[in-house]
Amino acid sequence: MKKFLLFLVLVSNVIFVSAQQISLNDFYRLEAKGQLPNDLSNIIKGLNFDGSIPKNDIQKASNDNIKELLLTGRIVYGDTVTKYLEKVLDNLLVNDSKLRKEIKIYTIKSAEANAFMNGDGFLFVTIGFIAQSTSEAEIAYVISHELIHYVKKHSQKESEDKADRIQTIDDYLKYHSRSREQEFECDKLGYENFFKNTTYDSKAVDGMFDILQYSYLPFDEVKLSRDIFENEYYKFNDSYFLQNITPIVSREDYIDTFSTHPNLKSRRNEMESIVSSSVVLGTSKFIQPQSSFEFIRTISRFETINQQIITNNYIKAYYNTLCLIKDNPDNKFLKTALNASLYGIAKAKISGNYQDIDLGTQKTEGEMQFVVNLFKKMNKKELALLSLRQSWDAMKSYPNVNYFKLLFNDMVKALVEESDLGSLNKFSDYRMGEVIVEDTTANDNENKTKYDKVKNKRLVGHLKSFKTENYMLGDLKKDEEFVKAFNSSLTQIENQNANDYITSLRDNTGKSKVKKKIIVLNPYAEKAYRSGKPSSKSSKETQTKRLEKRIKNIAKVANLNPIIISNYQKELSLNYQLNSRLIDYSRSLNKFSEITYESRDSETLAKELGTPILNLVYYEKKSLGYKKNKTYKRLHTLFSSMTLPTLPFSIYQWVFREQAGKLIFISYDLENNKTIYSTTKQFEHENTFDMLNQELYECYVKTNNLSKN
Amino acid sequence: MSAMLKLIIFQKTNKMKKYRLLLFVIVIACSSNVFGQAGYLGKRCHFVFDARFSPAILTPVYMVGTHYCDFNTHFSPSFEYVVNRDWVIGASYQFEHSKYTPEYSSHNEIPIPPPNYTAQESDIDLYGFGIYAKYYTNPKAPLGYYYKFGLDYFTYTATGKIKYDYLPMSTTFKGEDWALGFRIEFGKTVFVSNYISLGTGLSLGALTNGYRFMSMEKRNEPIHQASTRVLANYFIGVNLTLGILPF
Repeated sequence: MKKFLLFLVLVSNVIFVSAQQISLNDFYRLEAKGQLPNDLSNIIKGLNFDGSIPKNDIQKASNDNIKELLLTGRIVYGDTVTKYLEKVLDNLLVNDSKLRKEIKIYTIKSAEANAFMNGDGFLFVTIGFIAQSTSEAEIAYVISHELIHYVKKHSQKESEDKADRIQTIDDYLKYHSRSREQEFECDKLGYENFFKNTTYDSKAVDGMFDILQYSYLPFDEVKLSRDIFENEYYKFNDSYFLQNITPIVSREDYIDTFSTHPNLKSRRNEMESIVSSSVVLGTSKFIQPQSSFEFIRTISRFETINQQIITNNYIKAYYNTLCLIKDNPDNKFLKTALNASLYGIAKAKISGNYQDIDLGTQKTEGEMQFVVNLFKKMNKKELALLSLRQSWDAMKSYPNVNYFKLLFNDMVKALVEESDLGSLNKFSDYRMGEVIVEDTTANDNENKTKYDKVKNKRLVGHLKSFKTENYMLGDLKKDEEFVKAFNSSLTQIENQNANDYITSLRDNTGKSKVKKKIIVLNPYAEKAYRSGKPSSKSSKETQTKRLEKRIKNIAKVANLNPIIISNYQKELSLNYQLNSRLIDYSRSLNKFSEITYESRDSETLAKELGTPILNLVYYEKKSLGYKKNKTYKRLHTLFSSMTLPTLPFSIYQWVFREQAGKLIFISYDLENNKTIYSTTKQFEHENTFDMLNQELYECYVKTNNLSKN
Repeated sequence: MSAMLKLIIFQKTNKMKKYRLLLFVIVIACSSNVFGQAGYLGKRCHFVFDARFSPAILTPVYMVGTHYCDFNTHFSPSFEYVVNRDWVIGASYQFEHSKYTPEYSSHNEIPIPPPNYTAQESDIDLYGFGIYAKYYTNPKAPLGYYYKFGLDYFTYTATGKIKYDYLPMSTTFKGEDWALGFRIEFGKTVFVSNYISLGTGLSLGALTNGYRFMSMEKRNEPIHQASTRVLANYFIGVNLTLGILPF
């Protein structure tokens, strides 16, 4: 019987592993599976997980943070990674079923290596942490640590300065709000109460501190060479390639007086003495199959790369991808990520915004410094051509993937518009520095066909003005498929320019007759103070809800059917998975390019949403502190004092000060990956909403008219 | 539009020439789309009811007798059309009812003391129409602050009674006159909903009776005294408007 069971386990493992290998190649994104669990659904409604009303501000604030994680699609449930974490938790709490029932564990899609727990038993582990871990035991120890926060009810003793530190959801993902004493307690009791009772390897305790200390580094330290970026046809300047890399000098003994966490050295020392004094030490790095760990770690790494690209952290994403692709050179996801990150780097440079993505050569430690320096030194033409080459390579491997064609065409467009390299005649057919041997039989035309003579004359040699970039397509020019694709892209650009011109001549002033559906995603409004003081959460909520009502009203007047997806919704307007994809899409929008990472499946997204139009609205108002037209108001009040019916109106005019309004409006076509209409409007008004209504109306009419039917 | 313009400008028939200017104005008004999005939420036709209140500290108003904080009220329902983002044109019908106290008038060249008399408060009824143009300082017509330039024409009738002590019966009189007015107003319009507007403003005006500007100088005839009242009401006023913007 035992042998039979063992056989079954082995067979299922093989099937599981091979299924995983197939799915890793087709990996797209980490997604939640199934219906939203009741506990999370209650949080969205503004209740506690069990449906009760929050008792105090701490509970309410904690629920609000979880709600924001849900509405931004960061929480993942029902997937392979979360199920793995549940099994780890099961192993830790095998003797405490009561506590096990109270804990709800989920995965968070964040590149930050972190885990955190709230007072209601929600335990979150980030994919960033799993991506950096080396064993199941390290994950188990961090979970043990977090469990003590719950058991000892640390959330009820949160420090008062938490509200100042945590302004955004990204702050929430980075920082705890625990005291140093609590952290020591959790390190110690987590080990003694839960971790020690399993067979997990006690060395994982120190391993967990390694993760915390070095998680800012990429997945691996892989030495790169210039061969990856060059070939026999072209060579970059030697200064592009660093010979000596800055060593990693991460400090673990930093001064922690003003930190909520004790420094890592003191934590390590503390735990070393505790672990060494333990009678029985576990040695198992894995209780579940090691292949399962490697699988979920790979998924976490892939998703971390996704998150890094979405948040424009292209250089780190590129290096991380290079670290993984060496072992999986044919993995489709990794090729996509490599293309997307290099494309992002090139577009940032072409658009003059490279400083937004630059990691800083001096600040970077380790082997990643190689690419940080390389991309900084490269000019925009070199980067554009490197990206073009890469996307061509991907197009050959995956001819049915539209995303690579989008990148390829956009790079050709960049070469035409930004770099004056919009013709293959600007690229040499020879290698850099190659000595061109004259064809002595060139004049012997009797043995040559007309076509040979024509082709001979068409070869582009060396010109004095030629630089590295002029040699970067020499090898590809010999590929007829590449030449065809390049020229086809040029034709498409010319046609597109003509279409854009024709569209601009269309009458944009009247209303379109067709009532189109439009998704308005997370409209946001806030009141800015002249003193610079940030507005409170409740004020933002009030302003945003008013803006949402206004948008609903005005979009309908402009003959659009708006579906508003709000940060303050009590029920999800779309299913959770679709909502998450939409949020990721909006997060990937940037000022560098209209084609974003999430353009990979924007057509499918548009079909599932039922509309290709995505709209983003941001409104900020600020008091200017002065009143306009004072002379008129004074005279008005003077004469109104003699004519009573007008006096209330006269006094009313004095109540409000001049306000400055700023409206940022973007509408985007998901099917065609193009901005339909984008504007920033600034206006002054005396706290009357009609001015904002009028501006919104003009924006929606333009969106309606410019979007294709 | 260009075809219409050619038709208007080069039309040779007599009938078309007569209406050339009118057609030109209509074409410009209708084709003002070329100047961009106009109107509030795309709506251009504005029906407005305006009430202008002018202070009447020492003089009688439409109510009998004088009261503290008295004022005269001039009403003008109007129709406005948003031409483009800066300009609105309008036309109004106007009416007002007020009172004045006529004084003794004599045609004697030799000044003699006036006889004792009692003058009852007499009525002034004013009816007329006007056209105007509004220029909006923040180009979002019809929203925000504006300057209004108006031209009004109205006729007014003064009727009343004077009782001289030496005569047993009162003497009634009735006079009619007309006036042409120029008015400038500065004010603001706000929209309280998609369709309803509220406005207020301050206006200054001057009247002319054909060849001369009317003044506050007292004249002998009761109708001239009435015109003084009309001028005083027209000179300065505080406006309140309520409007509907249906399409």
